[in-house]
Amino acid sequence: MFLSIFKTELFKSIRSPAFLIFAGILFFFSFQDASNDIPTRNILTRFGQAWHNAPLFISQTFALLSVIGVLFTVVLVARSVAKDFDAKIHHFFFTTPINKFSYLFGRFLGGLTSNVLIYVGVIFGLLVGWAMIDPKFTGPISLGPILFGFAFVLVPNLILMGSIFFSLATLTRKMFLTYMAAIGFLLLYTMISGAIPDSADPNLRSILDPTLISYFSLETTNWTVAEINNNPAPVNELFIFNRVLWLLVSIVILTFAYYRFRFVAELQSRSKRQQEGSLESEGITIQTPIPRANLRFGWRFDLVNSLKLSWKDSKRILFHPAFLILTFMAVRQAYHNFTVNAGPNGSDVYPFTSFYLRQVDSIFGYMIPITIVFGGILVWRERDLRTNELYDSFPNAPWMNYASKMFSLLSIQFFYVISALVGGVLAQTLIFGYFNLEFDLYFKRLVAVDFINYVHMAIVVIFIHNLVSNKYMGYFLCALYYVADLVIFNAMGLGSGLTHYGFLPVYQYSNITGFGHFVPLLFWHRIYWLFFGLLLACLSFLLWRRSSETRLKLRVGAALHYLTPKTRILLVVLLSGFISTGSFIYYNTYTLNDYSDAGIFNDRREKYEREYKHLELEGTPEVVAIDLDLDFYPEDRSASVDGSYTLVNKNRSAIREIYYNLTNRRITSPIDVKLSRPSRRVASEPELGFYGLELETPLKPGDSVSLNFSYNVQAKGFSENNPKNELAFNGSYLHNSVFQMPNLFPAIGYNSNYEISDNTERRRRGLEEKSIFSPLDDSLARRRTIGDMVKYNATLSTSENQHAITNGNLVSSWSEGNRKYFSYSTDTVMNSALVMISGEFEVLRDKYQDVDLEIFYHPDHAFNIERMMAGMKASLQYCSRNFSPYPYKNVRIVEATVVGYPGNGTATSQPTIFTWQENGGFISNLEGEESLDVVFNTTTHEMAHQWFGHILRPAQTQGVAVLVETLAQYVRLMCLREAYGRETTYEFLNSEMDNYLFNRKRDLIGEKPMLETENQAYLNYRKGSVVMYALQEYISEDSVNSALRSLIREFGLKPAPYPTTPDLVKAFRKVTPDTLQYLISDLFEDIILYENKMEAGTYVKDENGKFIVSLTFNSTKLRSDGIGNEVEVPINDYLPIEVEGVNGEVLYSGMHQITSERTELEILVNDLPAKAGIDPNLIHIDRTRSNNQVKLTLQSMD
Amino acid sequence: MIKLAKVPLAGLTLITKDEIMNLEITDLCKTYSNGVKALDHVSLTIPNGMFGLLGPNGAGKSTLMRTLATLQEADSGSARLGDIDILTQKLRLKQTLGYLPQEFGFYAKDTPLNLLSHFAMLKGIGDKKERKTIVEGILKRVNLWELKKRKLGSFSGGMKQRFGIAQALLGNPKLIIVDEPTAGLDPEERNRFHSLLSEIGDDVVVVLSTHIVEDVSDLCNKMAIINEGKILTSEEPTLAITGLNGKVWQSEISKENLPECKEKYKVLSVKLHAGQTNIRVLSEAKPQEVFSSVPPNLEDVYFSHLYFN
Repeated sequence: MFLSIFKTELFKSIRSPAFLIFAGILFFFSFQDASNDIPTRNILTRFGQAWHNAPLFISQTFALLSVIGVLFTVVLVARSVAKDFDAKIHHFFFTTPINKFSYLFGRFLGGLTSNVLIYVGVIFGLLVGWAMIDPKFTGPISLGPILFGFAFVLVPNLILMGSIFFSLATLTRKMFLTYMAAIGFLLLYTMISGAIPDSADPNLRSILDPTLISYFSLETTNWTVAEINNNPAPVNELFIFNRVLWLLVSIVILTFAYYRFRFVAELQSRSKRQQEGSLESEGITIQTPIPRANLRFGWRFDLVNSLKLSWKDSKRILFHPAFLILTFMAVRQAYHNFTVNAGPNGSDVYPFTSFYLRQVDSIFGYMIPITIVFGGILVWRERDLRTNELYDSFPNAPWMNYASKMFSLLSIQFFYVISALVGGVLAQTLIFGYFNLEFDLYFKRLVAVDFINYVHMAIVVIFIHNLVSNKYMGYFLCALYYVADLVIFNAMGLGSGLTHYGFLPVYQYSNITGFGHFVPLLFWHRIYWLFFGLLLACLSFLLWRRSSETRLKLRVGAALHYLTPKTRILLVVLLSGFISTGSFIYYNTYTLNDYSDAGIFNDRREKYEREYKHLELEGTPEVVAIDLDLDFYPEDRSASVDGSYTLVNKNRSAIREIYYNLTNRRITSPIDVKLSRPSRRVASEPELGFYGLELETPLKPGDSVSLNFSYNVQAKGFSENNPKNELAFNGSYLHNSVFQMPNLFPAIGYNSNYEISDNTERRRRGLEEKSIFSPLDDSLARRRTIGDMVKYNATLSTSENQHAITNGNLVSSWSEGNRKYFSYSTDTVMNSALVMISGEFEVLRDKYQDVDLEIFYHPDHAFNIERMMAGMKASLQYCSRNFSPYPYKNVRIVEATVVGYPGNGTATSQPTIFTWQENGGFISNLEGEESLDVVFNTTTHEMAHQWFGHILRPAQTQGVAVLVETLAQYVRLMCLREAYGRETTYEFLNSEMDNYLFNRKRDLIGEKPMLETENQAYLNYRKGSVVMYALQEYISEDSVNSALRSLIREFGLKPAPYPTTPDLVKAFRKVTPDTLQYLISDLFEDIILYENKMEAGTYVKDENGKFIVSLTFNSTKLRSDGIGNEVEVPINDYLPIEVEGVNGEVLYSGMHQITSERTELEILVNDLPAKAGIDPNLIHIDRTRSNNQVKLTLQSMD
Repeated sequence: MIKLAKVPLAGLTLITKDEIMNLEITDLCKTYSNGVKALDHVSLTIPNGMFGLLGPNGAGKSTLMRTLATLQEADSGSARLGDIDILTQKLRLKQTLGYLPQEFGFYAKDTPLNLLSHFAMLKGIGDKKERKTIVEGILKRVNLWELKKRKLGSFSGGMKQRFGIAQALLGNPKLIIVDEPTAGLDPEERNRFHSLLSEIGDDVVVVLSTHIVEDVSDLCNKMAIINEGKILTSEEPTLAITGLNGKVWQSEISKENLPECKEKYKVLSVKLHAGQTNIRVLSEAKPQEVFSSVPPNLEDVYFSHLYFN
């Protein structure tokens, strides 16, 4: 009996289309993920150089997919009994001699088995994916880890979820409730994995998360790539406990369901309705006169009708559980992302409306399937119900039905928009107690941007569904349309704003300047495509499937019938609107502006490299002075540039030709660039922005010449891919960085930074692969740094309500007419990393000794300026005392808008200025925060760049960031310790080490010793902090500072050769005693980790009343390679040992030379000891840090 | 919003004209893309009152009905209701049309009251109060008033057809088209449905298509027989029956003789009655001794046209 029910259920389920669809989805999902060779685009957990088929990943995949597939479980398992109630065939089962056990569990197990079987799709997906990907991404493929993950991760997860939802659906006989429970499960899941991390015990998390997702990520946080590749998925007592616990929970739930399930046809509440059913109307019809109706026709009446009809349709969807669940999930996701990291970098910022709205994008992903599915349901509803002939015979205008379908779909979409609004307002007010709600911004973003996107979706979906001959074809074509849309426009980058239907230009919203100059860009593209959308809509209603003749050919014929004169006029109006706005956009994009997509851009860069690379070796003159007159005209987004460079030949041979790059296409006037000596043009490549001048008489070594340039720049009109953000109504931000093209100011000589840097793209174009970072021994690179040492004089002007800022000391400022002028100059040479800013600011002023300190900020963002000021002072004091005097008379922090500024929330340092983007420290929410003052902390780091980056200018080789970022981190740590104490510093260090250990495995090029780091933030910043702190603990802060002082003395503001990491290491070695020289190698030239573990600790009181502490500990020293393969190296190191008293006071602290893996040690202390540890403050990198300390016990007297 | 109807309409028009209209079908042709001639030069004049269109399945009845209900295009010919050209002035016709399709369904959770009121709205009864009165009147007329709040999903075939008629009666129709309304109803339901149809006023053109002879004999005072797209005859049923007087003969024969009889005579119908095979044949004279003359009925008319026209 049981077996036959089981079999029937299983086979029925397997033969259902749902089974194949679900298995197909899982197959596709896992195949996609396994075969994706761009690691950052993986959906599932996977990182760095680890193999795609690492056992850990396989288990994580199963765990994650079991959760994502909760809907599959609800459909396959939960409905296995409940569907009998739906179909009202339960009577049949209850009246046959089937017993309750066989019925319930036969169905349950049948459903569960089919649920498990769909995951076979995952296995095939993975295997096929691995087979298709480049073999370097996979290790040896074996079935063991797959079977492990399937049997011990997936199956128990499905049993648990299956029993929960099965029991619920079976007992309540309500699928709606069960769907709601599915949300509950997802909520519970995010609560466990999202809310508990701050709470103490990771072990508890591992057990309480029934899916094992937490367990796997917590157990392997610090795993290396080598471990991920070679170890099986971790199994320990927590794993076993988790599995047993949740299996027991499943059994309890099922048992409960078994006893509560009543084997009767109707629950009480239904019987009433049953009686009602016997009512059958028999009697003779009553001859009632039917009053004559006054009939109303016409377009107004049809409009009302279409709205009424649409409400009848949409209310069925709006109150449908599946729809509500999807809405809820979409909004919850936005809400969750917002509340968890309300702002960039995961640090807490004030919950501005714009931050919430940035999360609303996640809703967009839901909107496509929702529009396709419900659009299909709506369009086909009358045909599915076979009421279409009735509606078609009613006297309504030909557009009435189309309009009603559109209104329905739009109202569903609008419901989403409203839900998103409500979610945001709730999050802002209830979670954050923030009441500056900015409803106007909500409206602009949700309606003018998002809702219009949805409108286009609705138009397309209804258009497609109306054309095709059946619903499923419609679904298929709609899905195909959006896949093609993604592939063609997003992945392949083809098409432009004029050819991509519904195109939304990329824009940036600033809390300071709002949508700013993006308004016309957005407005015209929106209008353009709305015209087209309405044309499609007209086409849809003309071709509407109305009569019983549904073939397209016949409908085209019928469409002509509906082409009334008024319709024709409408079509002509729409078409001419479309064409004229299109022409206007074309004029702005292609005539006023230079349209260059990535392909064109790369073509130019390739040509630049191929034709002019040889000039790299030619001698170029150096810029020694820059004079600049720059006038900002913010109101029409323009500026006039008038300047000159003084060039000196510092080479040994004469220079005949001088080349410069001037690639900015905002230049609107004829470019006037001249040398002060007679010359003629030898190269002119406006496309590449590369020009050459040949001197009549060559420039002899030591001779100088000036290059004068003058032109206007302006952002004209609007452009989708070239919005010229640096010229803004408020917050213009010009710079002369050589890393970015186009460049507004002439840059002398061939610039290798303009070459294509992506190696895949280089290979495709037959260019040699290149690494951005030259090796340490590259003598050419040792002579290259960013910028020149220049004398800088500038006069800036701007409109009267703005402030113009650039590098250097402010000499004077004055007003003339309705313009303001600012004159800047320097006595000392300066690194030529220049910025010119114009904006409306408030200023906070202060002084440190004779240096003027200023903070330019947006009036609404005054939250943290005092902390910034404190940070500036602390860092300025620390650096000028310990390294060298500060050479200038000004330091300024300037708040930059998001527009035109590289890097979200980040700060960038230039000589005498550092700019901090508006989403960074200015709006960090530090109210009631007791831990780290991130604003102070970051300010000290950025200030330190005045020394490390601008005074000390490193060569562009590997390790360059160590001399800049790591040393700035060092200053940050020292300032932090001085201002906030040791404990806070240890906390910070600990988070730095966490970050380092966590990110090692994600490194795509492999970990390097500090000496040779590249673009590896987790090394340059995070490990850098740990390394520098350890160094000063061993050789003293003073020694470190004296080494840095000597380095600055040798290289600071000096010409080439520029310093590299070996110079830094040499300076450190000089101040390090012989006994600790090994430490310099360990920290900078190697990758060394410790495994310190305190095994046991006891104490006894001796006859003098003192305490003898006996300690036993293990110390292992490990050397790691780039992917984390570790070898043990002999230990002969000094490690800190500490004994603490009962109140946490330090009773003993000392360095001990450790020479063997296991050490026993006795220490005499004066007071009662409580705890002892080896490297208790974790100044060394240690992967297991919880075992460095033990509680001491009183040794029993034998 | 731009009005797209071909018929010039004011924003709000009240239709109050009440004249007698004939349905005039002239030379209507329709050939489907698969070559089937669904309408082959159909011409009919249909006055007020109940008109029966009798024909076997696939004869072209539904095509004609749908064409008259503006749901289908004809290849050629014309159809007019009074001064309305059905083929081009679709919207105008729809304003005075009641249509009960052969097959239709509803959203199962709707109730007669809600749905009928909704349809009334679509058919132009814009005034809320008026709509309420009319819907109530019609529901009472079709005897669904008691069931007005039940879900349509639980309705039997007869109840569903009654609801179908109810919606066709909305909006003062001058032309009511009922396509195979009795198919699938049990005899009792059909009776009830017949009495309902018979009460539709005489000032309306009602076209009823059916393949069941009783529908026509019970209800219609005018009829046409259609087969393979052609109108075989169009006359009053009573006259048609009279025309066969003395030409219908009946006999009981044994089963084995049936093929032979079919070959020899114009067999109108073969019926089993109490284990005996009863056959009716069409003949000017008595065909054989065993046959006896019987009074003709409408069924004989139907089959005589169908088989021997």
